[in-house]
Amino acid sequence: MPRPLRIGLLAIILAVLIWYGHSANPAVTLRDCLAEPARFDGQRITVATEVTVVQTWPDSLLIHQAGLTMKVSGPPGKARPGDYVSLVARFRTSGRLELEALHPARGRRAKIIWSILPLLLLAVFWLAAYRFDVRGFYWEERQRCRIS
Amino acid sequence: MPDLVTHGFAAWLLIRPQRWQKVRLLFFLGTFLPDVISRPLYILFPRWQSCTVAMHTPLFALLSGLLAAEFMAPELRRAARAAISAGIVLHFSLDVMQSHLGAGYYWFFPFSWRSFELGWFWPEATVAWIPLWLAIFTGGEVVLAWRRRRLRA
Repeated sequence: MPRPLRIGLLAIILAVLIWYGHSANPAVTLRDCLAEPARFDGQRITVATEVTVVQTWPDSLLIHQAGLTMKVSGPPGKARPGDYVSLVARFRTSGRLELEALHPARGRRAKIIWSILPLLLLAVFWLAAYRFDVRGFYWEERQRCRIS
Repeated sequence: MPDLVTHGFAAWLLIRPQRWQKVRLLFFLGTFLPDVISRPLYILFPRWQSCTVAMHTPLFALLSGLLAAEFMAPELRRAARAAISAGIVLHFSLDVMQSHLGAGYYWFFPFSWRSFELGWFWPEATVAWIPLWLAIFTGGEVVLAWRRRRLRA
C-alpha cells in the first residue's frame, strides 16, 4: 500500500474512533445531569476529570469542573481548596451531588509539571539524533546524512 | 497514568542495553505517546474531555504509533513500528496497575466499554518516587559513561 494511502487511512480510522468515543460513551457526566436534571435524578456518577475544590465546609464542599461549579453534600475529608479530587456521587435534581466516595489527588499538579521534563529531554535527544527531510516528509538519522 | 518520569524510567530500564541504541528514542516516544496525544488536550481544554475518551486506549495509541512511524525514513519505518508499539505496550502495562474511583481505562475500546485495573496505587502516588528514579537514572548513566571511557582508553 502506498505511504500516502496508509497515512490517510490511519488518520481516518483515528478520526472515526475519536467520534465514536465522543458519541457512544455510556458514562453519564455532570454536564449530562445538569442538562436533563429530571432524567438523571438519583444517577450515580463519577466526577474525576480536572475537578478542583473551590471551598470546603465540615459537611460539604464546592467543586469546579470544566466551567461548572457544584455543591457536594458529604464530608470533604482531607481535601482543601485548590486540591484536585475525584469523586463518586449521586445527582439530585435540586442541583446537588450526594457524596459516596472522594479521593483527593494531592500531587496531581506536581505530576503534570514533572511530566514535562521527560518530554523536553526526548525532544532534545530527538533533534540531536534525527533531522526532518522536508522533501521526503520524514525524520532520518543525522549520522546517516553525514556519511552519505 | 503515572507521571511521565516514572514511565520514562521504566522505559530506560528496559531499553538501556547498547544493542537497543538504534530504537531507543522511538521506544521512549511510544512510551510517552498515549499521554502526549490525550492529556494536554483535556488539561488545557477540560470541556473537550469527551473527545479524548478514545485517545488513551490501546487500539487508538497503537494506530497513532503506526501513523507516527510513517513519518520516519523508509529504512527506519519497520523498526519504528515495532519500537513505538513496544513502548505503548509498556505504557499501558504500568497504567493497568493503577487505581481510580469509578471506571478506569477502556482497554477494549471500541469493542467494549468494560474496564478493570489492578488497583496497586493512585495515579499521582508515583510522584513521591521521582527523586529516586532520577537518582538511579543519573547514577546509572554516569557509571555507564565512565565504563565506556575506560574501555576506550
